[in-house]
Amino acid sequence: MSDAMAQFRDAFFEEATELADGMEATLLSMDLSAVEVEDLHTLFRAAHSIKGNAATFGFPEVAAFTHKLESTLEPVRQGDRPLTPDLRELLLQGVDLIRTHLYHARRGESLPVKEVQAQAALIARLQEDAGAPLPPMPSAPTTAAAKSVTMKGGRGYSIRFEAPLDAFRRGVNLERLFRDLAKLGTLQTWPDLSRIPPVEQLDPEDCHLAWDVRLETTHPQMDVEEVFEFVAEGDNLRIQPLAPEGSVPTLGEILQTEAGVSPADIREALSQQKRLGELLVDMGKVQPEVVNKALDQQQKKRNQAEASTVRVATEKIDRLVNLVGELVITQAMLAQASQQSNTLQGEEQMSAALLQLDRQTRELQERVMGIRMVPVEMVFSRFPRMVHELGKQLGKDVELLMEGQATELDKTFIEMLVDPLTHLVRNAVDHGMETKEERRQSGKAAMGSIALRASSRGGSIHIEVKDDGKGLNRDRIYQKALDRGLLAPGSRPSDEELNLLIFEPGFSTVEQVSDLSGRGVGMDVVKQNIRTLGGRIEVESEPGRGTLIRLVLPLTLAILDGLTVRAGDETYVFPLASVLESFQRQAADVQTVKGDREVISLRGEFIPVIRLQHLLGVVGHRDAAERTLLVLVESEGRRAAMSVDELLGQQQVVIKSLETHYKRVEGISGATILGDGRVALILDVPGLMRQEAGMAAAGA
Amino acid sequence: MGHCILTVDDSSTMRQMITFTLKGANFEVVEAGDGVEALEVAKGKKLSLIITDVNMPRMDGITLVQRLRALPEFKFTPILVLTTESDASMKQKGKEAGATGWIVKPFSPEKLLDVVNKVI
Repeated sequence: MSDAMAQFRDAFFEEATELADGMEATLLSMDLSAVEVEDLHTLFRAAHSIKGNAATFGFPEVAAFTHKLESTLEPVRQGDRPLTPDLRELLLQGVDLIRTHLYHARRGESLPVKEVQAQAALIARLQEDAGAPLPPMPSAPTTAAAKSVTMKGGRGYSIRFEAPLDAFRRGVNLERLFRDLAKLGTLQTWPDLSRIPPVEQLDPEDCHLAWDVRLETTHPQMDVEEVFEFVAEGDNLRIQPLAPEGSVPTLGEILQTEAGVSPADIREALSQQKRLGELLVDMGKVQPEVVNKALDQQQKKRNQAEASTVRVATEKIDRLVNLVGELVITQAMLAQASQQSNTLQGEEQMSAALLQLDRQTRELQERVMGIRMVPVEMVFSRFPRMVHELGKQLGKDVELLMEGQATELDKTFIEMLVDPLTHLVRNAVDHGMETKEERRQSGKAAMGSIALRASSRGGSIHIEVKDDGKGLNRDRIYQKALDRGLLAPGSRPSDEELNLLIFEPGFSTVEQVSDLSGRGVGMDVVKQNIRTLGGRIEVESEPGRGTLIRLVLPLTLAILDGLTVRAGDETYVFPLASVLESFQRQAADVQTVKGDREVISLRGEFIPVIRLQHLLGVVGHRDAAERTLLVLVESEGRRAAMSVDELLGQQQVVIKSLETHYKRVEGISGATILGDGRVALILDVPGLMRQEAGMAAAGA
Repeated sequence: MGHCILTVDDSSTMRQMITFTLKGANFEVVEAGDGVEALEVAKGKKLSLIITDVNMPRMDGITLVQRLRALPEFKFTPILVLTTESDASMKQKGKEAGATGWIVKPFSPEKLLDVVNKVI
């Protein structure tokens, strides 16, 4: 297979996976009592696209199966068949099977027997439900022909063709077919007569012939498909590209080409071959569950290996290419300017070019960072299905609300978030949510709700999992912590401290661990992963009202637009996003309340004044009355005026984590290195406000 | 040489185009304006291929295919139906009736010859 072809295939798999995800999301979001026609069209279009593309890129099995789904959807879309909850389940299973198909097709494997059986069963159920057999797939869509022009063939194909039963009766010239194939390249064929029934059952007008064909050709697959145009139906034609030149052929391939062993025999021999796991189980060396676990682990590793690529929108890359082009021009301008740097004109040119360079460097930096940023939707999208399934299994009615899916996170973060979030959501449904009965008794709506929210707050990203379930049982947590020696007897931890104990290793207050949440990672893994990402966990819980778990993630890779200020002898950076304005303080505007607290009246609103030096304990500060500059900041709907000594300017800073090098400091979200090499701390505005509020409360 | 093809279409322009193309490729061509006429023309002839339109007065193409298949002398003769892009199900209907294949309209003379060569 040529590189170009391989690229197309990757694109196909990605697109098909996205389409399948889209189908799932649509299916899950539909209200079956009031179905939107547009949703039905969306489903149909997705199935149709997967089918068409799969056929084009040489995955007839994927195409054939997707076609069945498409055919199922056709009468639904036309309003001739209702979308029942049962049918939705079947379609969801169908989406899973598409994914399984894609997974195996991507590895060049055919579908495992187990899946083939599942597929057959599903198709049977779809038909049973529909009352009529689904039509077999028509030959490759004609639009594919146009695409094939740009596709190059590889080394050739291995083809399995089972002639349709009515081939003779339709006047099909099978000999002609092979003559046309031979025109494309070097042909080797193995007739398969095994499908011919015993003589007494044989209708001589039926065609039971099948062939395995090895065709060495550089023609694109479309050309091969075209030969079979009138006889391909359903999955009776399977075309697989031969392994690329230089790759090691399989034993079967060699035996086929060199010794003329028929592919049918090889297939049969292979079907008798057992997998390592099965053999070991048969030998009584391991338990089947152990093998399954090992397979899961292998799968996980495989997925991880796959996830190391990132998909970038072409516009992003185009913009980068343009930027680099602009940079080259700027460089030329600079070179020219430097040659006449002693003239006034040269100097002007130089500063203009530098200005341009500044802008371009900044943009380049941003955009390169942007490449690694992916929407959090990549993780979120799996949850509607999971919650749906869990709810069904546990007999709970749960709805999932999602917000802020477009919030962008570094790709590494996204990958590391999958396990913790999965666990949190699963936990919320399994343990957090009461049963329908319990909910009714406590006067709640039978339908429980879980909210997943992502948002960008200043220098950090917040991801929240909130349920309206029973809330944490802090008495039980306290008792358990005492039992496990996590708390000293007689100690009086705060609610917040108690809440966080659920993330300690081996901590579970549920007497009977259900097979859902009790499996795999524990809550301690959540804590571990979040800590690895340099984030922290916050828990809020109210008995009977529910629990909110908030993952606060830093943006370690982020560039921040900051306002640099001086307070005492230190330089600090305000995230520009939280700065509203800065102004000169007029003594008359400031009023003192509660002893030493100051508020300023600004346009009729009283805003607390926070003395930065005081709060941060900076040395070298002057008398409060002399400080005349205030920076008005806002966070989470609250405002405060921070008094500083000097405004130094506005600039972009690279955020470095303070925690990795030192420790977490309240009110500080990170540090940065300034142009002159000195370190400046980046202020965490919400943190500062909390701190100030705490001090105010303590003082009062 | 020696192949005789029957082309059935109620549009004379279409028939002319097909006949012209096929004759240019040294095929012998006979024409019919609908299914009923086609059955009469075909009677007693040794045909290598029949190309028929679907929507025709008196007898449509699908019925024609079924009737031809019921006749011993045309049981295994290649038959192509002319379908349109917009009606993909017609391919299937044609197949079920016993047609060998199809040509999608609009088609170029080259495409016509390609498909004809595929089945003869």
